[in-house]
Amino acid sequence: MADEEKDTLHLNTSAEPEDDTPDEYAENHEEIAKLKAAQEAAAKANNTAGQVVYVPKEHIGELPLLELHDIYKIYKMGTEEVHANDGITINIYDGEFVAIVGKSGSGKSTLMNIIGALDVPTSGRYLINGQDTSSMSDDELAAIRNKKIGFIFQQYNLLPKDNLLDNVCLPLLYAGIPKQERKERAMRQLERVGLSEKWMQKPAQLSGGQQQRVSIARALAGDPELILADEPTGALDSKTSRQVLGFLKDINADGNTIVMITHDNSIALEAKRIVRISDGKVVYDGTAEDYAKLI
Amino acid sequence: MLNSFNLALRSIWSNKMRSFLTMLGIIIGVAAVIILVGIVNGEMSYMTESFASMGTNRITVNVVNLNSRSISVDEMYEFYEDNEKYFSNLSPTVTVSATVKVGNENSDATTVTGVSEDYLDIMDYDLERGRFIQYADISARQKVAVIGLYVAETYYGNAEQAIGERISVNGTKYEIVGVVERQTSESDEMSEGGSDDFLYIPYTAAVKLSRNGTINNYTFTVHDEYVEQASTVTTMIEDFLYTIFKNDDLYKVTAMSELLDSMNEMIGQMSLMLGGIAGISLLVAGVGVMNIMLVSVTERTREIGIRKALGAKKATILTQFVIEAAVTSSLGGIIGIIIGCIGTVIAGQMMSIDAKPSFGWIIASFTVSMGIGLVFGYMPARSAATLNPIDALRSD
Repeated sequence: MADEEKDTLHLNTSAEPEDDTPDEYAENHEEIAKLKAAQEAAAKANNTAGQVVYVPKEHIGELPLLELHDIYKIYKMGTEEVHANDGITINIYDGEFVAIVGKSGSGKSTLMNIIGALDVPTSGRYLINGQDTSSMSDDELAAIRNKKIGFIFQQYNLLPKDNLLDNVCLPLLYAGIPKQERKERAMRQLERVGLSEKWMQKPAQLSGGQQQRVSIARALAGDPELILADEPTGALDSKTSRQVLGFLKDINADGNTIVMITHDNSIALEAKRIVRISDGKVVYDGTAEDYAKLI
Repeated sequence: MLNSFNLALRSIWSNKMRSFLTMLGIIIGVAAVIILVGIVNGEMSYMTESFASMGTNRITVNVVNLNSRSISVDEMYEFYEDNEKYFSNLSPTVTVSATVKVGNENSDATTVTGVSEDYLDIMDYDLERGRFIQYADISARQKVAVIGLYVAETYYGNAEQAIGERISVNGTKYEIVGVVERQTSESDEMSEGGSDDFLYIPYTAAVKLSRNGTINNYTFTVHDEYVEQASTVTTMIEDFLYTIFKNDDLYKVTAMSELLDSMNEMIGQMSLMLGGIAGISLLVAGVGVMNIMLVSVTERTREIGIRKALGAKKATILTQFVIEAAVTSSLGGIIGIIIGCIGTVIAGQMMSIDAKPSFGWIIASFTVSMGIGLVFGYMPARSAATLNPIDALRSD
């Protein structure tokens, strides 16, 4: 999780250019300027001044599944205040496949923690299915994570000592579902990712791609409203990456809402909608097609 | 709850070595408590038994007879008869340092005691053969003797053949009229100077053999209902003796049951002290549990992060770790109890005492070990439960 560590380490310096050598994780300022200009132009065309909330055409008139309203996350570093998220407003609708893209230090991980109910914003409101998480206690957040969100992590984060079935069962265990039903549901999800035959194996016996499929099965097991994938292909080679992305697209086609966090534009373009974060602000929010044209 | 229990068992099983080392402290602590207390209790009951076999109903009186103030056998018997509601038997005991000879063989270790006809009852002995010294023997100062089984078997072959034979005490011949039953326990050999190497003669005869010619020692037995009130009876004897001697340095009254009481008290203190030492070792074991649990929490930060991200509540994590600690230490406790019980029996056999594991201490040590697990497991468990899932996920 080196990039995430960088995230926090470089929060206060990310606005300044670091050095001249091109870096995959470093911010591309030209690109950002172009995206900002495009968004402003779009806003003007729509006759709305200032910041607009993007609503995909097919979801106009619907209530959003996730509603982030003017989210600020402010860290104190010594005497200096760092705005990791600086007034972010996004609406995400049921059935969408959204990629949140940002370079290292852009604040995308902070945003992911808030969307994933792992953290609460300093100010602003975050509603998930109409429920405001901003003032929830740790245990209430845990219940939200358990019932409404399925996590897919870059490092898979499977429990190494448990077998695949037990790993997939875990969110169901915490949801208090009886043992028999737990096993049946977990087995169905393992079947869905094609690993039901290996249910008694330990995660270490599988390849990275297979482990990520187990974690997809785990994310799906609780039947959550939202699948939150944090750099799901970050630890995989390009072939297995494509496979995992294919899986994500498939489950999206089945009606699951997916939010994927990534630093990689080419991965992000697999989604239907892209939100570009830079310096704690949304600089682009629109379709993947439009985004592809701009970069 | 049941889930936490399963998780705890699984986690203990998947870290066998670490769990075993954690348990080891508890195992040793609990086993030590049980073995130490078992041995002390065994020793205590052994000592109590051997004291009881000496007769808890016995009161011994030692006097120093001066020319001006003295008590005669007749006076003592008069006192005894006046208080027959307390006393069941009385015998003067005259210990004689005499040379016992059978034929040409010397038997130096044989103790020679002058006693009355009640002495057999006082000692609670039975006869193997023949008869005991009788009142007529005493009043007539008959030269008769009753011997221990060791003397009979060593010099005459068996008890039967000893009857009617003569034995020489300081050159005077005594006729053997009875042999006392074996007193040495079955498991031991009878030995020279042991509990079967003795010779009883009438005290009237013994007085003549002793140097000063007075009787200084008496043994009373009290009726069973007065054994508990031995101190009342001793006080009464003391009061009587004071009227004669006018000086409490000249006599000494000792009740066996009082000796037994003070010995029991001493042993009780010893067992409490040993229990305390063993308790400290249990406490040290508890610190070990805490240490391992803290390590376990640090080691499993990422696991805790995953669990919390997937919806485990604080209480769930807390329960998991507390139960893990409690299960580890109570498993250790159970193993410790088993080892302790076996160890107690083995130690008892080695020390040839009847050491039994005490049920009360088994319960106590199990409760303590379980409690240690809960108390010392709680702190690390709480720090696990309050971990921030974001930080926890980031740790390696």
